[in-house]
Amino acid sequence: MSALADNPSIGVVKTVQKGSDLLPALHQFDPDLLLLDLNLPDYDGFTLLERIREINKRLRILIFTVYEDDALIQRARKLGANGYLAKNASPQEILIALDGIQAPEFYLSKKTQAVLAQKKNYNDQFVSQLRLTTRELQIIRELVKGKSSTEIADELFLSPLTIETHRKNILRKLGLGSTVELVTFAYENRLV
Amino acid sequence: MRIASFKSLLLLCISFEAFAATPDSLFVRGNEKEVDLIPFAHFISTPGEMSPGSAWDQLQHTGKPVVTSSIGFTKDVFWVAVAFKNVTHSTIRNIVEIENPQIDLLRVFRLTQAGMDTLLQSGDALPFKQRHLYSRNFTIPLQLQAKESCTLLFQFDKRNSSLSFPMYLWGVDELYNKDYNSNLGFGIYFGLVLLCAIYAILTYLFLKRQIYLYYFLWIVSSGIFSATHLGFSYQYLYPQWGAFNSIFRVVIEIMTAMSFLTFTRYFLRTKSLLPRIDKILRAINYLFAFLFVLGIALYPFVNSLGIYLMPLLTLIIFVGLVLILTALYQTYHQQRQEVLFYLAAFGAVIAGSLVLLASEIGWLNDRTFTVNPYLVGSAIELVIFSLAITWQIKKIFDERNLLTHQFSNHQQELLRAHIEGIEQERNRIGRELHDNIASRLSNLARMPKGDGNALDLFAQETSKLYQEVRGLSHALASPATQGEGLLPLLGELAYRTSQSSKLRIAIQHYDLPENLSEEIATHVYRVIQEAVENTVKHSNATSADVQLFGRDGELILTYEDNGTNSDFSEWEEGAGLKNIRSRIKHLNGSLEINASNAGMQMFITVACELPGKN
Repeated sequence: MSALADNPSIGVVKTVQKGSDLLPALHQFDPDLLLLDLNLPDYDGFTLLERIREINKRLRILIFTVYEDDALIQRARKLGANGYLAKNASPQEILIALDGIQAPEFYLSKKTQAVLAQKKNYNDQFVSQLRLTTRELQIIRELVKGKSSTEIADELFLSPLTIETHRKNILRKLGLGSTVELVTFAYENRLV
Repeated sequence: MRIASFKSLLLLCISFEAFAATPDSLFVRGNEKEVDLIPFAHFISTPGEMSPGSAWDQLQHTGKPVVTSSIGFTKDVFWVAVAFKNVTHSTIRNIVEIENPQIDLLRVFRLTQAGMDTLLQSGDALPFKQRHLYSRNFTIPLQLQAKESCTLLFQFDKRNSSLSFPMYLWGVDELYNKDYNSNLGFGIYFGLVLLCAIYAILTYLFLKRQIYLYYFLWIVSSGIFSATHLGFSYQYLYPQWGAFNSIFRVVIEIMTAMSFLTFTRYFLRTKSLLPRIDKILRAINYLFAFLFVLGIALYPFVNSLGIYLMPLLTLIIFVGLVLILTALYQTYHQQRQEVLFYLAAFGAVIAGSLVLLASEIGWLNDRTFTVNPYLVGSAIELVIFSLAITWQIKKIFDERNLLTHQFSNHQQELLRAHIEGIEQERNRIGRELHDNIASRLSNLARMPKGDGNALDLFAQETSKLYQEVRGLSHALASPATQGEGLLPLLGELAYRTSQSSKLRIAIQHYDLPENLSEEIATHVYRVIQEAVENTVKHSNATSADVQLFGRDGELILTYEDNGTNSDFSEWEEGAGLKNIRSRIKHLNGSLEINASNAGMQMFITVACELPGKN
């Protein structure tokens, strides 16, 4: 906060530590901008955000928190926050954010945007459906040989129930109705 | 049936010769049309030996029955004379049966013109094989020519204890018929005894409770006692050992009493419920054992000592019975079922004995039963006690089941508390790191930068530290508090892991239930988190597959990595896997883990609903 205090164009009117002190302070000082942490000792930041928006639509609210998570950001946005800033931001970044929050669109720092993009990219890449795991490929190969769940279970030192479940998982994943279809699928897609 | 009124000796005794009576009857069975019992018979008792001739002289001069028998062990010899007449015009064959296998010495003389022929010399002092007919009772063949009459003189030497000597005159076929029927009854009875004994000993072997051992001993000894009493032991067990029968009867009687008393103590739980009575009953048992040893050691002198021993034994048994009745009365409110079982069982035996006694005294008209009433009572008793044992076993198992149930509930409770404790502590530390330390670190990192490298370095270090603490707080704090559901959390975990290690986690999910409870989600998340942590720390894996399937109310989680897992055994003993196991157990789920050089696979199934929460 000291970084803000040093800047002549900005004045810090009040700092409160607890959520319960926030609403009276807003009423008393009627500031232009609120920096809100999501983690407060008494209130959940989202609840507070909701309550502020019920009585004050004009106030610009910048969520200022440690979390850098897309889901949280989207939720804050829905509840009426105007921007989001990670807590490890440098003083320069904070000043940029204070400037950016005045714009009508939701503010996200370049850095946070990059992190989110990276995450999204990661998730697009790895939260991928229809990927067969090593174990599943192994089981498909045995099934293609015409082996029963019990025989496969003996071979892989697993319980027949587990093999059966794996088989059902595979069918579900590939949208197939039976082991026969699976065998055809395996040949067509050169899984064996 | 016609009962000829004859003056015949009958000495009755129950409960160790405390009671004597003298009904005067001889029974004719089967061919009463053929044989007349001439109303001329006498009996006398004489102290010690006497020749049959002088006994016969005395009998003829005695007008009335003379009873001089003493209580307890008698030294008397009884003489009985009975006259028969064949009323038909042909030769008939009959058998006289004396229903008392426990006669030391029996002599039967036939009076003739010339003098006396010895018809029979028998008794359990002599080997069984010497008998004319192999029957447990003493039998004397009697052949009468047409219109012939004859007189038999019986000499009973029965020193060791006095009992009744009921005599029957049978036609040969009638005797065989009767024996066939009664043997059938004995067969059923002893078969039942055997079954109950096998049941008792098996129960003992399986449950290892002493009461069943004593029950077994009691069945066996009382069964042998019955067999001995009926003459079967002598006939089949030791037919060559004359004179052994008397001592064996005493031995088996004392064993029966001892095992019965011990069984009663265990059955009525006197040790815990009535310690004082229990002590006396135990003392009585020791006394039995002492008398038993004494009786064996002093056997040569027992004839003279018996007079003193018998009343003593009777007194001890009486005291024992009174104590048992007291115990039954005093513990009735604590163990109603046991007391009722006990009373019913022994009520049956006592009822049987009373019926037998009443018939022997003459209160009941028909003296001969196809089935011995005492044995019927005893059989009922065995059945009741075996039922009681079955009932007790059921009770034990019910109690054990209840205990196991309570125990597992308790364990489940402990597990839940343990996991909750961990969860809370993690949350507390995670929040503390986040709210306090991470915030202050971020403030520190923003401190004005100076020119010196040292300060820059300081800011860089603080920034790194901040990143680590933030990661740690994320890992520690419960995902539920971040409130965004399982999948975004897993995405977050995968991303963070990719930032801090070379491991790339692929997540797949199919048909996940929408209303998955936060608690289950938390556990599943923690399980995956532990597995990922293991993969990062202990294997060189570069990729891991996490899959979640919802199917038939179950959540199926598979986890696979491609690591080498050289440290797998280490993980197996560590807290991480223990944590996973206890969480899965808490969710009543199943877990399968395999690890090899080709990677680690975990296969988990849990119910989508929490156990015990309906």
